[in-house]
Amino acid sequence: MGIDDEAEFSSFVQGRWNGLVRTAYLLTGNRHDAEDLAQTALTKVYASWRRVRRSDHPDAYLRRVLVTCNIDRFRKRRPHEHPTDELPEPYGPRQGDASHQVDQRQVLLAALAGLPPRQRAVVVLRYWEDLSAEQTAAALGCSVGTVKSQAAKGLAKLRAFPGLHPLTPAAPLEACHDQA
Amino acid sequence: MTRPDPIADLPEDAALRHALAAGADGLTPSPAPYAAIVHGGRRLRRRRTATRAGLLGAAVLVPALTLALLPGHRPGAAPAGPASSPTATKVAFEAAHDPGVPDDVRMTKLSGRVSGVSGEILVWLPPQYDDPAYQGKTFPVVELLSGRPAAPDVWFSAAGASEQLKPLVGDGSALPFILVAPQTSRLAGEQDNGCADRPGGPKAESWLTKDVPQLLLEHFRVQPEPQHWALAGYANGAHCATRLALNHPDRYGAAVSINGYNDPATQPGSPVGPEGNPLTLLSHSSPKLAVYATGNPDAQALAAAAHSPTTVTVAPATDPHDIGVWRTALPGAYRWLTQQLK
Repeated sequence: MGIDDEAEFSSFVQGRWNGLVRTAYLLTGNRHDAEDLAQTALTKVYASWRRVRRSDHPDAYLRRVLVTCNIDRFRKRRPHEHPTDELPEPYGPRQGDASHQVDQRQVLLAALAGLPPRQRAVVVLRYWEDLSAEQTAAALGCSVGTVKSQAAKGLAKLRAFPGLHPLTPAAPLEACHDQA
Repeated sequence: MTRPDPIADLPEDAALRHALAAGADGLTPSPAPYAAIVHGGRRLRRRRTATRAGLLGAAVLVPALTLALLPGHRPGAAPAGPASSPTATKVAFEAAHDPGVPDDVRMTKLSGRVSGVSGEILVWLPPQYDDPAYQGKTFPVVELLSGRPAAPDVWFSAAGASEQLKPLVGDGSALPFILVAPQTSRLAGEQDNGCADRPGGPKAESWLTKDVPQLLLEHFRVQPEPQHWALAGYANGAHCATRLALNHPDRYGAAVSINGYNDPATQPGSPVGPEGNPLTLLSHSSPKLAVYATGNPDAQALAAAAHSPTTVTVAPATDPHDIGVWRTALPGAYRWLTQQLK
């Protein structure tokens, strides 16, 4: 790679790293695997960087690699996550972090862990990265219809998860009625 | 980034979005293992193209993007801005914070040498900048000031500053301007800095008119003369664009004011009094400056107060105080700027 390619890749890594790790965290459920996954994805992007940067969509390519690597990870070894048995490791109790917020995060991650990897990726990309159904389909290499049906199934499963009551629409909607 | 389609965007999704954001936002990742990524990426590529021996020796790590590495260099003319320090500032770029900002807009953080202000700066280079046909060519600059308290991102997201300029450059009706949108608000946590240097507040005027131009002069192929530089703003940023351009004709040859106002003292909490009114400034001096103001009574008053060589072009009215309307004012402003900055 030329020095410009290197420089652009460096800037790409700096700009995307934190967001990438956060997405990977929601996909994997723990920080160690998240950073590992993010690093693997960027390594693959580096190997094809000259082609990727010419494509004008390096972010879409990066997402696709991230999701594919994660699904590979699931295929190669059984995930260490179980929806009910154990809660995923918290990423460290931060100062001033209300304990119930930490609990909520753990419940959320446990609920996400109950989804199959592709369904989980659809939910995370649609509702965390705010991607359109089309962009999500591109990242997963599937049809828009599959994204929509997987999103619906994933949401239904999340809503049915016992600890996730605070996330259901009941509370905010009731609050709206009270004010009206 | 496009918004989700409305059918899927049911109200309860908000709770899930909130939960996912709460789940991920608090995470503070370790620093990016850049050296390991590059090392692994090189190994992977070597495996793919086994015979490329040249790559083996290329163990050069680039720790951060320095703008100094961009192709080409600015020929001749010394920067007309403030004195440059012997060691050029190294600039590292990252993605803009707002996901609505197109990918070709880059963000950097600058610690201004003159103002002492640290803030964000978004830079967009026209496609021509990297075109071999333009190698060694220098480019005119439009500095975009957002209204208070908007982040500079809004120029490239909601206002579409770069996306609207591209087709105009493509069909030859606008010059390939370099667009730069610096942070204008909350430079030091203040409510309103008035785009001025005021005791007790950040030196906003020095930041916008010295430090930001200096960054471009030092690191980009820009045309250094003031007749190739413009300030443009909307609302509060429009007032600032006019006033700062009047105050600094050694840096700017043109100003675009989209729905601005003249008297800063009419703004609640303004740290700048009537002395900052462009009408007052024009009564003292008439610099070589061309102003484009969208038509409201203040624009008419500005035109009436201007004397040669200062000129004021009053453009059709864009009344509502709304980013969508300001957005539509941009193509006209770009065409006018093309006449002024060429």
